[in-house]
Amino acid sequence: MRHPLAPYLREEVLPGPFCPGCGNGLVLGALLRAVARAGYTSLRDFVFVSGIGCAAWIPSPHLKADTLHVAHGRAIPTAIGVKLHRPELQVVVVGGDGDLAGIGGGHLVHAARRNADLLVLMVNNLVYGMTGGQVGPATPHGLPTSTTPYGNPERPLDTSAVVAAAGANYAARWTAAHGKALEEAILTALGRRGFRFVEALSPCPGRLGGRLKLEPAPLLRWLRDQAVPRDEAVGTLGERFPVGVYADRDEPGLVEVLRGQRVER
Amino acid sequence: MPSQERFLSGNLALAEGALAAGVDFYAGYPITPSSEIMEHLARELPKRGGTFLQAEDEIASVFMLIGASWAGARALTATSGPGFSLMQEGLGIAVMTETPLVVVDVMRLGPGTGQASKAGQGDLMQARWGRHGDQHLVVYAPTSAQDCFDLAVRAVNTAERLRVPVVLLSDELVAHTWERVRVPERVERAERTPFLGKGPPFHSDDPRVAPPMPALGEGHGVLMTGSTHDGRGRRFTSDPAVHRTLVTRLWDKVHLHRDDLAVVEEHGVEGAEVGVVAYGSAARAALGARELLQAEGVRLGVVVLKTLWPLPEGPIRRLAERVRAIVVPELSLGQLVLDVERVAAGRCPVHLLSKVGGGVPLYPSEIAAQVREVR
Amino acid sequence: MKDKPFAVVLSGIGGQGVLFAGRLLARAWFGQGREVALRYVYGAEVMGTAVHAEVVAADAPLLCPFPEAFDAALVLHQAALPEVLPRLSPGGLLLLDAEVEVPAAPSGVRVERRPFVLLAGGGPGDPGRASPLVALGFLARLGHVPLEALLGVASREPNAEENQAFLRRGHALE
Repeated sequence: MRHPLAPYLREEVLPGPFCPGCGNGLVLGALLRAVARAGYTSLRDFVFVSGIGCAAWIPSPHLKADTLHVAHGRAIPTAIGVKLHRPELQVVVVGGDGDLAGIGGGHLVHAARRNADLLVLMVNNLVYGMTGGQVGPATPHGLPTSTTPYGNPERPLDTSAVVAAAGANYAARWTAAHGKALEEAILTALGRRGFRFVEALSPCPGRLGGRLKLEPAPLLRWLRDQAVPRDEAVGTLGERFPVGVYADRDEPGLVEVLRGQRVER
Repeated sequence: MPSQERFLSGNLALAEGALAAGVDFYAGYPITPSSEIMEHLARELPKRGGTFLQAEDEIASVFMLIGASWAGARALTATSGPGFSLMQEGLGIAVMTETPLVVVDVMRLGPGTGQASKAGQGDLMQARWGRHGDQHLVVYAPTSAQDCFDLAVRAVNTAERLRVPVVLLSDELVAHTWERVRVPERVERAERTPFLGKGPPFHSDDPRVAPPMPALGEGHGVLMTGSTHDGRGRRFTSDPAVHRTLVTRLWDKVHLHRDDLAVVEEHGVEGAEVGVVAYGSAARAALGARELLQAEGVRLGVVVLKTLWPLPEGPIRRLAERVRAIVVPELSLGQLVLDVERVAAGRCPVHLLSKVGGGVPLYPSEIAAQVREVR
Repeated sequence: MKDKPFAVVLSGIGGQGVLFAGRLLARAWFGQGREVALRYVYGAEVMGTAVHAEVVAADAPLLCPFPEAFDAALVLHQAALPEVLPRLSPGGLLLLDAEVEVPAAPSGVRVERRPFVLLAGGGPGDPGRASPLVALGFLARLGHVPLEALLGVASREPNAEENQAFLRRGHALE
């Protein structure tokens, strides 16, 4: 029997390149189940844009869709260019925390401020995975990495909260261990206009698991167990991961506003 | 073709040229001395159904162009030195992904923030070599408001025809000088070759021919990547042959068109005693110098380069074969002179006339004086 | 034989309307079918710093539009004078606002002084926003550009009647 999500995949490039125990497959599953539940029988109307990093390889080349794979951090502006010229397409950005909140952090905040009509899916594995486990913008304070051998001296960015504060229509954080909740968040986001942001905390067994001395399954369990509902969260980000909805608005997106200015001419 | 005569600055003429060429997408970040282009298109594009967006920085600007271009837009942005430096990243991706787009760099004085509203010509080598890796793109340089209009049209058409980013290297003097511009009612528009589902979108057996470019949303399953890829767009992160094939083809795609990309004016090269090779505002001074010297009976031949890269070597070589010496006037410490020396290859001495600082133009009398000296 | 190009610079400080007047003069000449080049020269876009509008008119296409020397200079503020003086052609015309002091007029230069700022409603603390228009009117009186051409161009710009009145006021100067 064919896998129900197979129609969305380029089967000839499978299996994917991800490490055993990587969370990318779980996030991909949640994304495609949401796409299916939203009623899309193919990805023909989608354009996926990604930058550099392991998460950027989730869509490119695995999704049977138009995929643009550009420079590190620059997926969001590229996606805005696509969306403004072809507003009828569903434009989705998939990337990691380093890509979207680190080198591309400025673009992320401004895309949220503009309420640019994109769905951004940020796979947050808390480190730079592809380059060997260096500290990233979401790395918990104190965690040793290959570039913070004495522990991360800095604090992690609360990206979902930042995006919500910047003006996104929708922002939510879950973990790869919350498959159903993640799928629901993506489904909600797919149905909205404006800027939508879904953050998925995800295990990196090679680069994070090693540091935490956790095997893949315990690492995933650790993420799940550190997660607490947003309104009950105590302690600092990184010790605990608040999960839930950070923004839920329905303001006109950039496409609509620009269209209105054209009509008035 | 009927045309209209207008009195426009170089920047306004360039923006009008972009509109005439069908530019329907602009994303940019304000910077002196280029901002008039952006402000004009901010007013005009929405009236014509186009898209204008002020980006958060120049990096975002050029990537918005890349996205829009893949979505089918004719995309252009304008900047100056500091912004041009930031755009190199996107230009490299555009070369690698064969994305048509136009970046205007209205040169000012650098390095750093330099003298912000003052003319310079120090970005010539950056336009050619500013990106990492082996790559080639096309650079045009206007000398007048009329050139700004005409070369904007040509830049957009070249970008679409060759699937390559094109840089329009203007300078503050050209940008802010108002002159007569003949604006034709209609200009010729080249279109990119559409992808019809056959043949690879990232390979062509004849390197001179750009592969057809698939549109998004048509079910083609576009695989576009800034990493090394094969003809279908599949990433190959270590295969030596795939890399060499790709970068060689991308280089040749521009290089093998060097003759038909060359926009060059030759003034009095036959019978010249001394030659000048110049571009941009310096070329105007050279033409003024030629007139001054004519009155004294000195025969100066002037080669005006309106295509800078790929460098039109033929006209420079021909000049070098005829004259006793070549003078290269530049509003920099000397960049074009390096390539003129290379092409002249000892056929005649090549002298730099450098003037830099304060945005003061090169004047005809200064070039004439140097010519008399080397005659 | 064609006349040689005529280069004029309008100089003052930011906020005086020098650039607007420069464009008016350039368009007036352009409208008469002459070859014209106009360029604004200024530093940072800050009110109160020196601003120049350089205009060249010729009867044949301008090979080089950047004037090395000026046949006429209209200087409306002391701050703009130092950049202008060294570039005046021998035999050129220096048209000064009555308040602008010249330490030593270059030899062979014809100096004319008129109260352009005062006539534009300016005075102490007020740079006279329309003073370049009054000066242009006077330039027309000296025969370098027809007053009608200036009035015609001004009619297509905002505040047409007011600006035309300033041009006429300058033209009426003795």
